[in-house]
Amino acid sequence: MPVFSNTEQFYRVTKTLFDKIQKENPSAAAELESSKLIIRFNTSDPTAMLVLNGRRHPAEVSYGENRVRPEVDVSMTADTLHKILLGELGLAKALSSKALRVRGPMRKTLKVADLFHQCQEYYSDALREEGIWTG
Amino acid sequence: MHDTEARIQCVATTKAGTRCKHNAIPGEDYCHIHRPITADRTATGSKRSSVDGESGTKDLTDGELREQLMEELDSLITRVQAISPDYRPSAYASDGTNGSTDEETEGVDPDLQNRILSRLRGSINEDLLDAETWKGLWYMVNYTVEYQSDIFKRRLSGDYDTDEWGLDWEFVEAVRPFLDFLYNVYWRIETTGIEHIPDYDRALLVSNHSGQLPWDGAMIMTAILNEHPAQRLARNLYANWFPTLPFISSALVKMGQALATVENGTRLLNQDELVGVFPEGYKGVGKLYKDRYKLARFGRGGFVKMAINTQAPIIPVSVVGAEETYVTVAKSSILARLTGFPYFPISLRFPWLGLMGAIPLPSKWYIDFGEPIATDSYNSEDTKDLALVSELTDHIRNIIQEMINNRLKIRRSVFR
Repeated sequence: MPVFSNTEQFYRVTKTLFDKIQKENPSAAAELESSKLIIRFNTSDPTAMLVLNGRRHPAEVSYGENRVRPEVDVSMTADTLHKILLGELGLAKALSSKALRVRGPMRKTLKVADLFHQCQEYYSDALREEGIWTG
Repeated sequence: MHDTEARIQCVATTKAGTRCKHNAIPGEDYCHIHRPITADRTATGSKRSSVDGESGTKDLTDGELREQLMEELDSLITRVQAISPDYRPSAYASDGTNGSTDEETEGVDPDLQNRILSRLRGSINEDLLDAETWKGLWYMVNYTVEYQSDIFKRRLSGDYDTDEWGLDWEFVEAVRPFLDFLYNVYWRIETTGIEHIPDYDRALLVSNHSGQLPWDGAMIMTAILNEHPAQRLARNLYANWFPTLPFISSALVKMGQALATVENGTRLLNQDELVGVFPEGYKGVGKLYKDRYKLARFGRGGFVKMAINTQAPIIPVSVVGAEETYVTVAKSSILARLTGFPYFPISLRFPWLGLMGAIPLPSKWYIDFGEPIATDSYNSEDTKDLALVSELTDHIRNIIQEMINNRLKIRRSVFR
């Protein structure tokens, strides 16, 4: 059974997560801005789209369909993202098993490694706040 | 023979786990290879055992053991220094770096010292010591190679997408590193006013033209790709001579550019695209160096009609720096007729240096996007009013000329 029962729940958790990062560590957004990177996350089960836009000031996260053309396109199931953010599944393993697919210059994603770690740090809190079991 | 019999075999065990085959030094149990190490070890061991004897191993914490070890290391260093007093650690060794950092930060205020040291600390990435990092990097390289080879295979078999204009995003991404190099490194372009370009809606970019070859169009496109929050692609309209240059034709089409006709421009704008035009045309690119930054006539106002017909706002663009990429001192109409070129520039380097003369100079560029000029107060009927079209054309031209002049006033030099 998927972790997220529907798209709205997925957006609620991710929004809580990014709001939390913005509040606790505003420098993470500055890092995204300085990278000038546009990353799109496409998830299935449930189908959702997140766009992190480092070209906006302040950096912007948009939820749902977006016409902005990303530089890096990342596709996976929402459960895979969930496991990665909880640290249960390594990025390298997710890539090698093709659970995570990246389209675009992957080396650019290294610029936002810190933001990724921030997401991992606050993800379980975001799940708790939204009343989803964290394990 | 006698000697051999008198000596005892070394009692040490080698790294391979076998007994050392060397003879022990007379009067000792070890050979010359194992003696110093073993002697040191014995010394250490005895010291430790004496400590053990005094307080017992259980009483020694990790910290105390570490301190003991550090003391031993210090005494060893003192011994080595006594043997070779001229020895100084290399500047790249940790001791050398620490020493020079201390020296360099001595005269700096404490706050700045802290910042320097924290920055230095940040450069030592603990992740690099983690095997998972290297594994991840390996996967990343592997994945990138797979991704690139997949693109290559698909392109060989013709399995790639283009839009109805021939725009091929994979091609754009492939040439982008070269364009980025020109934008960031070669011409060190500074862009302002990018916020005037809409995220999704149609708009007509009207720019000055210069530089013998259409590098300015390519750089406007790169500026928007690199700086705009929606990473839009400007669809520049090019004159029909440029595609006759080698390799240029297919490259322009694959990069989403279109031939400069009113029909193409109107259709692109109706598709909510960002369209770029250069109303100076050949008069602009074929300008002599002495006429640099003096805008030529803006044609018959076709771009104004295009904007009014599609209700697209006009965004004036000024490019400063491109005029100095080629220093054209004269034009030859005879050579132009013979070669079929619309103009034949004679510069300080071309045609004397052949194709080498076509390499642009690395001047410093500025691209400024002006405020949009709305056209929605006009209607299609107004395009028949030639006086109005001409007035609007001159108005836009004057705005761009003013933008160029303003930029030239604050520009420090051609190359800085």
